[in-house]
Amino acid sequence: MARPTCNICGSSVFGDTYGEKDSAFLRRNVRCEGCGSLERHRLIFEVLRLRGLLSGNRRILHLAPEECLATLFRSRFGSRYLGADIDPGQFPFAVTRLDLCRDLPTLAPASFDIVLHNHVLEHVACDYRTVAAGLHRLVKPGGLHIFSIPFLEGGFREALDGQTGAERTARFGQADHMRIFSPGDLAATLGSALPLPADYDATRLVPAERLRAINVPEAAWRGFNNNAVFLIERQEDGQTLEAPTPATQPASPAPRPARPDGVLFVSANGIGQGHLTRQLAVARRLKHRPSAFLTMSYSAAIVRDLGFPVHFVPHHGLTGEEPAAWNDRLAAEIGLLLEAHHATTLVYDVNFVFDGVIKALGEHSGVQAVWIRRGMWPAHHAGYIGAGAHFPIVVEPGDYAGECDGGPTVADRAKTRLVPPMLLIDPSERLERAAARQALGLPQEATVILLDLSRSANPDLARLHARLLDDLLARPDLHVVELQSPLTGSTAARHPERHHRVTLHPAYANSRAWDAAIVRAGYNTFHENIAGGIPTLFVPDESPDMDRQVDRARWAESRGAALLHRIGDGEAQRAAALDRLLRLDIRAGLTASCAAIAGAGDGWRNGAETLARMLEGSFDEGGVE
Amino acid sequence: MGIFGWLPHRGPKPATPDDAPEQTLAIYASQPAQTAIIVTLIGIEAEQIDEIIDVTARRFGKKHKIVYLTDSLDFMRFRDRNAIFEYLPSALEQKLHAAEICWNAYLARRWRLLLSKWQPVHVISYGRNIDAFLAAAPPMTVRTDR
Amino acid sequence: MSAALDVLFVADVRFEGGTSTALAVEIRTAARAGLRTGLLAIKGPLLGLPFPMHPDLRRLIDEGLTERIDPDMRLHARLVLIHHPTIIENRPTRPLSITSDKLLVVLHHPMYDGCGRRQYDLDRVVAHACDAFGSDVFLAPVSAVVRDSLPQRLPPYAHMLEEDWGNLIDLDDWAAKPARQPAYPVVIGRHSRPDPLKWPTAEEVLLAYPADGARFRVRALGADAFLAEKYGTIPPNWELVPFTWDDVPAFLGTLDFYVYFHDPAWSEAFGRTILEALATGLVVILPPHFALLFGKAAVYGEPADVERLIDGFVRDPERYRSQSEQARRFVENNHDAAIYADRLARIMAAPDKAVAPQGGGLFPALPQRNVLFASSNGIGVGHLAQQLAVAQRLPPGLTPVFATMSYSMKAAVQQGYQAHFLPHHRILDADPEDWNTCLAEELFELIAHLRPAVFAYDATAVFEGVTRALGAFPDIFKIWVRRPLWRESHRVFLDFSDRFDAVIEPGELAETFDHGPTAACRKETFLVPSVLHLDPAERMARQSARAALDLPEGMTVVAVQLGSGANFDMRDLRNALLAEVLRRPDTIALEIRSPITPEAAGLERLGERHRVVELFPSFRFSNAFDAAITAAGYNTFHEQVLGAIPTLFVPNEADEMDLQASRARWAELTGRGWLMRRDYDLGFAAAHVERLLDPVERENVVRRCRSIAWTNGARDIARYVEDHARIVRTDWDITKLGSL
Repeated sequence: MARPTCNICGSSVFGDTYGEKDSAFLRRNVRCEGCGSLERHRLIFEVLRLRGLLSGNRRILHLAPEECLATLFRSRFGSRYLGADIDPGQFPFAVTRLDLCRDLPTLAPASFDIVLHNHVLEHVACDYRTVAAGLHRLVKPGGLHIFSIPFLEGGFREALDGQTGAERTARFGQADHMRIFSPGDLAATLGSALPLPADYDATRLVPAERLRAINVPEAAWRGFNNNAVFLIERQEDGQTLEAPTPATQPASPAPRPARPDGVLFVSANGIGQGHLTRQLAVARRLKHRPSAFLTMSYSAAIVRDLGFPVHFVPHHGLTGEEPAAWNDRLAAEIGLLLEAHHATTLVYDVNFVFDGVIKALGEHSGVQAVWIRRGMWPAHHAGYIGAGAHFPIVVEPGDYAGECDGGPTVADRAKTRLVPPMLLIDPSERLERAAARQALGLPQEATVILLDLSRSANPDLARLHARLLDDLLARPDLHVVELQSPLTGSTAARHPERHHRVTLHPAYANSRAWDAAIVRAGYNTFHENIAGGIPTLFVPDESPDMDRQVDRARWAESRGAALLHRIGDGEAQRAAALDRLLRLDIRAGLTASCAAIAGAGDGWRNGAETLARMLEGSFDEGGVE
Repeated sequence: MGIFGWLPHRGPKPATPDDAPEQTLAIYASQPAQTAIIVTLIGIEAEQIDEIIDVTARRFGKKHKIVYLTDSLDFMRFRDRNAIFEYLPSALEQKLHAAEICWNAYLARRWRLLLSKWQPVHVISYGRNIDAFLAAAPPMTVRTDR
Repeated sequence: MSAALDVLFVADVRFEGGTSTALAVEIRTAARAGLRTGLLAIKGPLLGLPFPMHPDLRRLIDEGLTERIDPDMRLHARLVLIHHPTIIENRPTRPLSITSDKLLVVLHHPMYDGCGRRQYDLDRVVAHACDAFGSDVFLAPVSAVVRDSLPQRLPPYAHMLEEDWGNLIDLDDWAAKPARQPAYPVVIGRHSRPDPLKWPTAEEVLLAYPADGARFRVRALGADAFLAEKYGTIPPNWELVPFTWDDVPAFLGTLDFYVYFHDPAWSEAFGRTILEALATGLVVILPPHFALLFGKAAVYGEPADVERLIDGFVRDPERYRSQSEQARRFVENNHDAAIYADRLARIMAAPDKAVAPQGGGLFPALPQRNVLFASSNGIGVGHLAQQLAVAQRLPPGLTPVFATMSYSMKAAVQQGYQAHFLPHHRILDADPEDWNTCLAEELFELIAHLRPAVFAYDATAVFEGVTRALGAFPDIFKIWVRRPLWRESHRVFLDFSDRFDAVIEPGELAETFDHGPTAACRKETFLVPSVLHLDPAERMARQSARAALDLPEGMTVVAVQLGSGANFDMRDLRNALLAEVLRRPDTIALEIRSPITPEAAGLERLGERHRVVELFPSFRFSNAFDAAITAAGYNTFHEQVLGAIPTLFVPNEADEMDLQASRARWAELTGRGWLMRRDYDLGFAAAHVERLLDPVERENVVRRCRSIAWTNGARDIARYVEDHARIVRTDWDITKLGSL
């Protein structure tokens, strides 16, 4: 096949786009060396050419006029061509000054055959919908409004002021962007000011072979993207503000104000932190979307510690409210938070879906609803599976022990996206052993054991925890680390030097500090320890409403990756388990087996990262099957 | 035509314009001794020109230069007899080319120039006299589009 | 009667090269768009030499794509386009009755050239355009470079057009050159008007156009001897092709690279030749100052960079191909003539339909104008005949009028023309000075009453009286038709050349023998092919002519025309030759007298087969002749040779004649006739006649005569007259015209 050629200037030499090295917008071999055109310019030129619009006395309004198109338009349309920009001085040719936020009324309505702008709307320092609609009004009936805008996943978001350049780059893709558009909610955002199509396929404008020939790569052909060209014909009788109803998303019943897209994470978790932790894992990996939390967990503080706004709603079991009333209140709270944080995505991480949540989702049908639903459900939770109907997207974080999952979620995999295990902190993000020990005030040379069984509502575990603490402290030279939480309360240290109570969050970041751990087998802890290669004695919480921790622990034991002690086991086994845990060679073997499990496949990948990319990037990659 | 028709009219000089010509042309300015007579031969048949030349040359040629004013195209007759002549387009020619020049104005002017040029001591007319000839000259006609 | 046009183009139509070609493209494109256009020719101050109307523009008139406009026409145009500010820097010397909705002056050059010299006075341009056409003036610069050179404050009544009047090229005429990968030796080339300033300095020329024949071949169109003057020796790998109107696209197609560097003293305003090169898809290398105009369509550098730049492309064929594509695309995008129709529609800012013609749709006829042909010619009829040749070829709108000193004036009248006689001083026995005084006065009167648009003078001698009369009419276009092959003694008349607006030189077959005074001046004249009154093809057919002359078949007819003999006695020679001719039993000697031959000048008949006829023009009958014996005056000579009549030329070698012997000598040495000289060859009459009557000899001569490619210069002169009969002059400042 012949080399692709720029259809505007004829050159067949292409380079990379300009911009930051790691910018989200960097693309290779698409910038024409002859005239500087990008894919969108060539696509626009091709469409104009095919439709015979490059001649005849058309009036053209060209904002932020690119030289590759401007020169040609000027030659052909002479005085009928108007190049305009807020900063005319930056152009090597004559450009009229036009401030879109102020000067649009100076142009006569229905006076241009073509209004053209590329990557302008994200820069306007005022209401972009007013500008877009105003530009559309300038187009004559039968004329064309042609434009392109940048997109990032994660929902529309904007900030007209109060952001630094670096913050704008992080959130909107470029230091001078006031906002960024998002494919998922385009209809609700720009689509409310302009009659936008429901989808985009460049091959409907120009045949595929021709697109290749003019170097518009396939990556730009489908889906709303930076090089998607909108070609909207102005209808006879004025503009319409109604966005066309897309098939997948019902139109909202009432007009919505502009919404940047934050994410609202909703979790229950009265005692534990598991659900909240997974949500935090996702939230801290979101680069562009702000996160807010509504939780029923008393561990709400850790959310704040990680820098996210958090709203605590105590479960009615604690408040004594009527469930129906409480659910209404929950729905209202969720609604308020959705509004307040301009959230267009709700991420729910609880096995049981509260009515209040369902109601809230019903009232905000434009909100993207995501259910993080880890596996290992107890059988009697099967009835909760149906709640999946309220969530178009169900994400199941992988479980190392997944092969022994016999719970209800296994059968409901049809629309579940499976992602790798989710952890708040990647194992590689932990402090090195020496640094961690120093941070925790632990001696560098001693043997340190983490004991963390009491931060639960299970009284058996609390009792076992106390016994183990005594056992451990009775052995000379052993240091014991306990994790504090609001639930543990403050008790006195049992040993002045060898008993450490740590409140550092997240504890896992320091987990290289201990040589072994005695923990429960909840999802997060289990995967932290296995992926982290920490020699562990799992004591599963076998409360009926917990996930099937005992299955996980057994699985790990069967793989030689951990030791297992169940509450029902006697004292002798307990002591034996401890002895084994304290043996160096045993620990080495456990670590090796953990490494084998964690390193299987492509090595460690964090499902929280995957979900975060999904929420911001595209779904095209699909979940890991 | 008989000889009588040839008899010169030695009448008074033909009317000359009231004002003298603006400038003196005088073809013989450097030869002041040289005098000239104008003999007009307007409307004369070509064959008769020879005789008139002979006659007038015999009559006046010794003392004066004779300048014949003719509307005939047969210049060789004059040439063969070494006769000096000036030409004015005939009435027919004028009519044919009436749309190209204003004959009455031009010819009137031409006559005055000739008088100034030759400063004739006599003007002798054979055939049609000059005044009638000039009076009959047509004005400029409008050109018709072809 | 008033007429209506959509667009009136006002221009000096004589510019060579790009300026006129660009205008032709505009006119043609406008016509194709259905617009009714007209062309008003201006004689501007820039071109002093007698350039004819550019053939591309002439063709548009001939083909009816545009109307020739006369300054006396009453006219309304929706748009008046004045091309080139210099043509209106002086006032038009006559009033115009042309109104317009919009008046534009296209500025082809920056106000100041590269050396800071002012190229035109904008105040005068605007004021005169405004006065002449009665409306405000819109200035239309051809590029941003020109636009930027204009002052911020414009003169009164001047406005700036919002858009540039970019140069346009008709891509149909400029096909893309054949796709070819360049390889050493590469062919680099250029084309331009033949002007040494368009070439770089001697120091730089070999850098830009290397002499290394192993790697480069240099082809230059529009290059000839002046390059040797500028540079000394021309490298052997350079090929110089003289300037030509046609086939420039084919020339460009032979090149791999187009390299254009010029002398720093030259200020290139745009460079249309560069545009043409880009249009064909050449890789073009230019000095950096062109980057503003051509952007990435071309490649830039100093002469020292040329070899390196070329090498870069030779090594990278893909880059060559890409650059080539960019070049052509640039022209398509920005300079395609197809965009002109839109541009006009925008500027005219009226409903996009052609103007409704008034009164039936026919454009009014051009007003009648007189053309005054003046000639001397006591002896012979040569000059008059030449003028008749031109007069007959004028269009109906121009009326020839003759003023001649020739006794053959009758010939003009018989052809239906108005004629006046001016007797020569010799016949009058008058002092030349006195005579000139009278002549001046008489001519003045005639011109004043005739008001000719063109005065055409055909004579070797230019009389004082003539120039004095002409001096009173500075606006009349004055042409001197001046045949070459002068004697040295006539050199003094060359001084009168500057009294005329144009000197036209009819071609001389024997031009290589011409070392006379006019030979050095050829560059300043308008050269046309030889002029014949009658085309050889218009002669009577042999059979009809022989029948008309009562010449029986089977007889060899020798025409004898040795001139009037008035100034060069040919009697003895004539008798000898006739005797020889008549010695043979099958010959007829047809002696042709001209109307002005003195009677009975020794022309007794020498026998039965000696006939004497008076024929004018005898050439019409010359198919009847098998051979001829004639003098070698211009008319006769060219008739004999171009008419392929085997002729023994006996030149009239009187002092006042042109060099007839040279003509005859040329004929003999090129096998197109024979030479016999009265004073030298009388003894050889028999031999000459024998050869003349030899059929084989005659056949050779006929063949060689027929091999001459010829068109009648009379046609060229007539067209030249036509093109100059309706011009508006702005080549002099009429405000300075004092009293006579």
